[in-house]
Amino acid sequence: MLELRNLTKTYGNTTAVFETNLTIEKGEFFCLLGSSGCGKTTILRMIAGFERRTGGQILLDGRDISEDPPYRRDINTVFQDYALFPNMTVSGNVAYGLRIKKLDSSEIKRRVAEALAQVGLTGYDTRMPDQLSGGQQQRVALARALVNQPRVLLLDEPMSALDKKIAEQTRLELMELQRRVGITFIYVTHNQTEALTLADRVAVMHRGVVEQCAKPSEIYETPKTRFVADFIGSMNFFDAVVTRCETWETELLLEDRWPIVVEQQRRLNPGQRVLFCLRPEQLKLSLVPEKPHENGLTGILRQKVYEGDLTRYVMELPGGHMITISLHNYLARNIRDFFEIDEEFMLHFNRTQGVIIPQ
Amino acid sequence: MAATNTSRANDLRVGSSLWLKMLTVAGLVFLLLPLPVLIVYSFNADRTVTHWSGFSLAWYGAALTNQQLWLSIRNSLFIALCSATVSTILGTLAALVLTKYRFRGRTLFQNLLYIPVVLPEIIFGLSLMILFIMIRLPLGFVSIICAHVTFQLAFVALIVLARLYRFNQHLEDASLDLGANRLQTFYYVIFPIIAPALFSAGMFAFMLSMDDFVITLFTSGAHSATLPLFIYSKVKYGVTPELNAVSTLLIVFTILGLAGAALLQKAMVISPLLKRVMACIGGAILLLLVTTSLMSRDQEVLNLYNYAGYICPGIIADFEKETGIKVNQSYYNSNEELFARMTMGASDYDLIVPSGFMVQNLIKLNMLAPIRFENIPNARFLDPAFCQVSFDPEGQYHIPYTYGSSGILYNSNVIKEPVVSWSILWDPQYKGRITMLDDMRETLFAGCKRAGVRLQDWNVADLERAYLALAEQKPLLLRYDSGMIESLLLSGASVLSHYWSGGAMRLQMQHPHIRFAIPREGVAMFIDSLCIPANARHRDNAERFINFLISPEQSARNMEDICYVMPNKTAIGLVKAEIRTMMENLVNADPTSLELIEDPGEYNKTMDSVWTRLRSQ
Amino acid sequence: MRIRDFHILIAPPLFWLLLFFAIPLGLILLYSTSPQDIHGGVLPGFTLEHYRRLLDPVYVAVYTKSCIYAVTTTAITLAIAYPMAYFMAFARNSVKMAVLAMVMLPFWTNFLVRTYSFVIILAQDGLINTVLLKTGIIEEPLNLLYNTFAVYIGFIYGNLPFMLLPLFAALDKLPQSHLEASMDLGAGPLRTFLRITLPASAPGVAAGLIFVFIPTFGNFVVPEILGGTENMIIGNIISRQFLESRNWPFGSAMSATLVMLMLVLISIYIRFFDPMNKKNLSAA
Repeated sequence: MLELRNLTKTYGNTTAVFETNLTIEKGEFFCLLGSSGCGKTTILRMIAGFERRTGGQILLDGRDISEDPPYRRDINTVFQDYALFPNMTVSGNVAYGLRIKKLDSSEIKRRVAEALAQVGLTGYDTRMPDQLSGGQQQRVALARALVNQPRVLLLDEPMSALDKKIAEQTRLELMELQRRVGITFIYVTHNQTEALTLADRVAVMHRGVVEQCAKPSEIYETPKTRFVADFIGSMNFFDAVVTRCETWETELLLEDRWPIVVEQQRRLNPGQRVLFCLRPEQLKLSLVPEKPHENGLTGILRQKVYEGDLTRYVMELPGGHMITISLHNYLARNIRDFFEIDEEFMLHFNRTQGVIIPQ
Repeated sequence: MAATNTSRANDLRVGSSLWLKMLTVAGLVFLLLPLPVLIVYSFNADRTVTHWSGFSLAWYGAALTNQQLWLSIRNSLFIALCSATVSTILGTLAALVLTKYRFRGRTLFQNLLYIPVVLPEIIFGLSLMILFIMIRLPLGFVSIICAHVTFQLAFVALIVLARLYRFNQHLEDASLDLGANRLQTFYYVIFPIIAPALFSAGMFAFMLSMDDFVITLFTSGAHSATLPLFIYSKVKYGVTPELNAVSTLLIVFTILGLAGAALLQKAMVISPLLKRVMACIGGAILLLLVTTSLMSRDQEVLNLYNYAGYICPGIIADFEKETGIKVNQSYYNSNEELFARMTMGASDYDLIVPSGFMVQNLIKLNMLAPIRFENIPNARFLDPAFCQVSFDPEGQYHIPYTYGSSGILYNSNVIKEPVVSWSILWDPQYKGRITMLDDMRETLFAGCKRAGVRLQDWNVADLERAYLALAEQKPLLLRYDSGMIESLLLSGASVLSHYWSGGAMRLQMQHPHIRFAIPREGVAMFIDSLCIPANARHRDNAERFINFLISPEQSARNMEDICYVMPNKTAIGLVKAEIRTMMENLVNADPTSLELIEDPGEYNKTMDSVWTRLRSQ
Repeated sequence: MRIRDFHILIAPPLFWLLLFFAIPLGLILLYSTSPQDIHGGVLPGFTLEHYRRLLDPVYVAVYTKSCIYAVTTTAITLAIAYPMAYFMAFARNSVKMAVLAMVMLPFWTNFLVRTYSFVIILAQDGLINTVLLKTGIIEEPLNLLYNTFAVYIGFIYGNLPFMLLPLFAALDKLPQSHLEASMDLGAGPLRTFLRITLPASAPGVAAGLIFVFIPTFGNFVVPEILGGTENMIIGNIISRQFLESRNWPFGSAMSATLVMLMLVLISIYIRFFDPMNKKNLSAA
């Protein structure tokens, strides 16, 4: 119900957002993910109305709102610094939008109480913002936005100022809240864990362009571009050439050295250059066998890092290529001690694993 | 300067409406208007300031060769440097204390620190003046520096505080952790980081000191005139485009200084070597200033306290050249002002020019030193009638300087009727274009004349009548003024001025349409004398100067310049014919119309109270 | 150990302030209640005659006049400074810096000189009159100098930067997000200004008021250079008492009333606006 058509923003010579097309469904928890400067915040601000677009349109339920000032859009924002008005109490802040709409004072009271209850701050109405902790301030900001029952709620990195533990807790509460309230959320963040946890769909942005817009599982398991593959989680990359492509299997030559076979759907041409990506958890580690193993690469173990739930191994392959493998400890508990540094081992993977990204 | 907030690049269009922009532009024009005006008019060929008559660089020549100006600049720089240094140190200490420690009385200390920022400067200056007099500290460089440091303290503390609040406490902890003690930590860690703030604070304090007028007015002495004081004396006593030239030079210099400082700030960050070079240059300048001021202290001086424009400048210059004695001039507006300064007890004047009644008063209070006539051979040229006078019967304490009277100066192009009576100064048809002297005795005298009573009767009821007459006159007046009469008349702002004979004659010579009249009811005559205060430090120099001045040639020269009559028959004979003729009109005037007013004694208090009441209305 | 350092640090400034600030003010108070001696100094003793003299209608009128001048000056200065500060605070960085520099520039040149330049501008044959006459807008020169108008111009001119800078500092501090939040919640530009911006600028306004109102009482330079006979205010009378009339106790009494007024206003300010928020005061 919110559609961005060829949305563009330029500042002088720099392009912050380049002809972006996105459609966000009603009731969706949508996430814009990317590192700083990628344009995600700019898009958010254009949707809110704080920046004017240079090109393209923003349509809310079919109506073009690109020219509307922020106070006429049925959209509310939760700001990164919360922007609570210091001269008003909590209830004063929350009631602000309602007062502007000139609602009846008993109605205002009711809705404010309801909103505060929703975010778990009942009884805080007479406090002043400077008396609240970071987490509480964030909730007030949320209540203040939600109480107006907007069609879309925009959130600009609201967790970036919170401690890790509180952020985790708040994340879950936020998901719950969104499900209950049913309002469309558009959430901007640079934290991929947040994006993957919270969102129904994620748009990964890089340098003003949406690299991929899909469900979190798709983003993680089938990244479409190198950037997305690299940005989300850890990834091992190989430059590869297609040697053979059939409908049931494709053969690649990795780094001009290692031939591998994978099962995948894409139609590729022999000789085509591609990027072959493997997640650390998709790799297995074993002793070097006597016969060559399918999809097996030998190298020397350089690092072993115990991380509680898994152990990360870094292998150096001939040519200097460093590959990361992660093994769940409870699965590999017994064999863990066999892996010594500076010894030769083999890593291998199943032909169903891996992602091919054409260059 | 404030570190401003994040960039406001925004499309909300806040603060961008047209009328806001126009108002801002209007405001800026208002703020900046004086600067180009001053600069342009500094090239005005005309002697008065407001009337433009052509382009000329003459005033720059006058300004650049004006000894007094350079002296005052040197004084200002010296004071500013010293006070800025001390206040930066003290202010930084105060800021450090406020950021690091919680202690009882913290708020009190804070208030003590900040209130000077808001206190009206006049009260600041006055209170310090009282203090200095009480502890008998002579008013001079030390007193001014102390005063300046005190009001700069607050500003320095504020600036440094702002920086210290952002200072990362962990840096200090790390230093201590690594084994440095507090002093070393300050020197190696804290100081280098806050140094830019200290520099800004110091510059700000420096600027405050250079610009300060009010506080310096009350805490300065005879030979410590600063630049603002010099400018003020020019503004009050005779404005010529030379002042504009001085101002323009100041403005240009300030802009260059600011630009230089800005560039320097950038450079300082980049190059530590440059920092060292600048420190050396700064040190050299400081050394230079200190040595030059010490040097001139040893030089022979004469501190002359006089009315402005009351002595031919050429005479002073020649005296200085001939004897090598430096003459420091300060000015006063009236005898009352002279007396006020002298009784402050901390003044340092060697030669003063009081009127007769004031001489009488000073003698009574033992504030004058007897003249050693063996040092003044030229006294033989003086007219004896003026040496043994009622106010100094033995003639021991004064050397008569000039005499004259008050009267009415008027613009004959506008005033067509004959000017014969004081009443014309009460004529409503000239409302807003009449000035009276800013002198208690003279103006009260005029008021008495209008009320038909005699001031010299020292009668309270009479004085009340005079007060009423003057109160009636007040709405008709442009100003009470003694120093700017010339420019006011010439610019047409005034057409009738209560003024003194000599100045009137001088004006008349250059502008024949300006005439002087002695009203038939009588005028106050004055005899001004040269006297040496009892606590004068350079009596010999004073006597030498007097001797120089009353020699016939110099006296004639003086009379030609200031147009007041000096009681020196030989000298009068040497004066140029046309001037002599004018002066003789006064010399031969009907003696009954010239009234000499004695010292009112106790009655002075009453007069003073009436005068204050009149001026305060 | 810490106590010793603290004492070393605080002693110099504390001592200095006590000696050169607190004690002199105390002396003023002392003088104001001492009888006058013939030469204008003081005699030991206690009297309230000087304060009683202040109740004379003439002096009450002067106080009233000074008050009117101070209030009017403050109001007009605020009216001029607020839009300027507003514009500056929300302008692009480059514009902001440029305007700030232009506002500060006159501040760096000598105050006397600038005040005196208005004589040139406002005189009968000065700049404004010459221009207006030459262009035929008026027939007779306007009387702009040596009257109340000129004095106000001088006051406003001198005080404008002191009102402008704290205002600017307060407005500049206002986070952009607050304005956006207000608009986001439905308040248009005018409403946002009234409900958000204006309250946020209140500390700056208060600081500016203090910086302008109190010093105007004691400003004698402007009336002396630009004023006529009717423009004497408290500052003038005080300076005359010391520099001419030799009635120091009376002058001290007047000064003491100003000091008390100042203390009252400052306590009000401290009560409502925490001045430990140093950014309000350190605008430069």
